[in-house]
Amino acid sequence: MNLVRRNRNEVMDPVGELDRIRREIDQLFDPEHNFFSDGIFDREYSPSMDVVENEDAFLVSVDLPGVDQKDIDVSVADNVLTVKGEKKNKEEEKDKQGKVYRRECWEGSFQRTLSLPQGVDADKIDATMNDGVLSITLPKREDAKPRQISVKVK
Amino acid sequence: MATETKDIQQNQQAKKDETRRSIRPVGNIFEEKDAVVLRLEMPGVSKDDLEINVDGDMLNITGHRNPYAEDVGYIVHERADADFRAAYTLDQRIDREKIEAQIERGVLTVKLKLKDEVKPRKIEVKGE
Repeated sequence: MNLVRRNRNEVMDPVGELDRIRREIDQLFDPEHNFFSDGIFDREYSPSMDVVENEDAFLVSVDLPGVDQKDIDVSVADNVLTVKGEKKNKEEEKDKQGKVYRRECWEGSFQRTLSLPQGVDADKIDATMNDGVLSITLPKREDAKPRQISVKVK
Repeated sequence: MATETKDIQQNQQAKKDETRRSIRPVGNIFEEKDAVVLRLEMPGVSKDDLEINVDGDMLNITGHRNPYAEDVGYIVHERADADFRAAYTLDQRIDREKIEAQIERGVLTVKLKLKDEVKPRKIEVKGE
């Protein structure tokens, strides 16, 4: 599974930054590399996500506080899952009248991509939005599930 | 015996709660005409997971997030495994009795109404 981590305060870590640049240059010369799945086309902001595996499925959770369900677009193409959309903050702030003490919420479009592991049933992918968290369930195909075969001993 | 076990379990739970990491939620704070508004982003927190209280001059906000079970296999782990916690000092202009809170899509909005006497007031001039 190929994933790009969200950029954290990498500028604060020069060694880590150099390492990142080296990795990116290496990727450029890697013929196997799929640029669609590594975030090179990702927009400015990548929301943070968790991916968890259990017996039946992969569960993806993406933090999207304040994002309307209709502004999210989840799609699967060529075994790459893409979550994109737009985060708009509430109107009231735009015509604010008084002082602003702190402004930390981001606004704008976002995109995250994830190349799916083998054995995901792309037709049964399910996404729900709850309390500002997008949960995507990627069920495993029957033949990819671990199976236990009991052997009878005579 | 049974109660003892229960006590131990409760203690362990309390300890867990105490040691659970907390992070400060990202948010916007701005002033409206008659209120100071806090908009805090708390993804994954529902109405029932919220605790808001005013203790003297302190406004304490805690949002509990349900963690995954501990033995779960993370492939990617970027979201903070922590509760949200924020504390603010309220100044004298804020009416402690008139605090409204609402959470929608993981965004908490707290309206701290200003006291009547600090609101801008228009005084009518009466003619004779």
